[in-house]
Amino acid sequence: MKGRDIQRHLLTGVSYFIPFVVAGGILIALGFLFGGIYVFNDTNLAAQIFWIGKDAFGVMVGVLAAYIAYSIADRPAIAVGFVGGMVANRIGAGFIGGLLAGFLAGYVVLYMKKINLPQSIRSLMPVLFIPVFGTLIVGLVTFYVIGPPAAWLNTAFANLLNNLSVSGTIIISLVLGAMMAFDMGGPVNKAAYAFALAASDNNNWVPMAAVMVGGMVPPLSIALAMLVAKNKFTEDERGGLAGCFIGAATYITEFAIPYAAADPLRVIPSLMVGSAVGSLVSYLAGVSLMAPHGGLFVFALANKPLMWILSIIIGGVVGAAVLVAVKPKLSEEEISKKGDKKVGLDLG
Amino acid sequence: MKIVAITACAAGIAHTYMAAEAVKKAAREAGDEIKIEIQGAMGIENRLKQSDIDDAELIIFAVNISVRDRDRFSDKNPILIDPGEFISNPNKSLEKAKNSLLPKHRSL
Repeated sequence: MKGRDIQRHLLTGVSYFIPFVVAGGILIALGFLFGGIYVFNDTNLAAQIFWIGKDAFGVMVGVLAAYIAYSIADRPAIAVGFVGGMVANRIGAGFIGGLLAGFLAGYVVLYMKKINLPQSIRSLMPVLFIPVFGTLIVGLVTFYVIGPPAAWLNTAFANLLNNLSVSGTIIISLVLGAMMAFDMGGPVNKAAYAFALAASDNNNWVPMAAVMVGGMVPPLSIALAMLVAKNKFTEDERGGLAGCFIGAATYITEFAIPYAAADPLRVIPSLMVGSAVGSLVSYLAGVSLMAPHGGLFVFALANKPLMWILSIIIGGVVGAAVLVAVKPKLSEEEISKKGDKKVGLDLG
Repeated sequence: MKIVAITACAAGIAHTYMAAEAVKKAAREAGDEIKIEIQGAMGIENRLKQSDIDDAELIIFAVNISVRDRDRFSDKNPILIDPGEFISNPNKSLEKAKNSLLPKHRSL
């Protein structure tokens, strides 16, 4: 098993996990918004919205584990991974425990699939042996072996984040922001996002706010730079202006990729600076955002909505300023030249 | 050359589609016949027929997550390329995929 495989399994798990976090985070926040801070004591509609969100959160670690396992050993691993993840969740091993349970389930099932049974009972493997013994093994190992250290790590992680010194805050927010802009939707970006997810699993939504700023800044920086320095972008590139604003508003960092691909050494570092500054402002201001996706559409769910938007704007302006400073002027010819590399997004 | 490709990424909303565009563009420029299945956040779009898969001379997985319904390719030799790489360098990546096939052809 290579590092690349592990990363692929992890990303597969995260890709199925994200909708649950989005549903849970936003519905819980809406519950608070409509029902006040003691919404969980009520039985009204706002309370129901809150509890539906809670239910989504209740299964999310299971889903993460289920689809990591699925990525490794396909269909029969889903149930085993799911239950393993729920065990991890129950004993407070959270995101980290679920992740480990998922890998364990995947490899246990992969191994069980290779056991050679006589033809007559072979069909019992997926319908009986894997669900029963696979789940039992994974459940026990998760409970006794993986669980305790993972639960400890989880608590340590939560305590660390909740008691950060100012310098620690600065470092973490700068790194998170820079990672978000580094590959714009790729594995490094997803690693920063996973960090914020892990923190939110411990009910700390400050990193999530900072990370979303870091993801929204790159397309915004490019859009602003194109507005003020028309002569530093080709006509082709400037055609994507509206797309960049949409990307910034909807938190789809990928809109910035064509620009980064055309001039990576200047564009990526500039965007990283912008995102890092944006995340820093958001983090230092203590903005917390209980919505793991949605961009501007979820600004009302932040504890300090205006401060959050301000940090996006600050990041965008800083990124644009650096970009304009380092990008060379293009000649008339270059400006009208059709790019050969550009791959546009047909979303806008 | 008859090529089939699958694109997918973790979020399934942007890289997935951009990689599909990149594969299509590179294949057209190289004069190849291309069919692309997109495995995004909305599910599988443009699902490949088994006959397309069986007839393909080159199978590209431009993915960084696991491919859904992988068993359709059980006896095949798909070439795995990161979608980000494909988006940045479509033509070069296609070339690389074709080159990865060479050793197998030589042994035939």
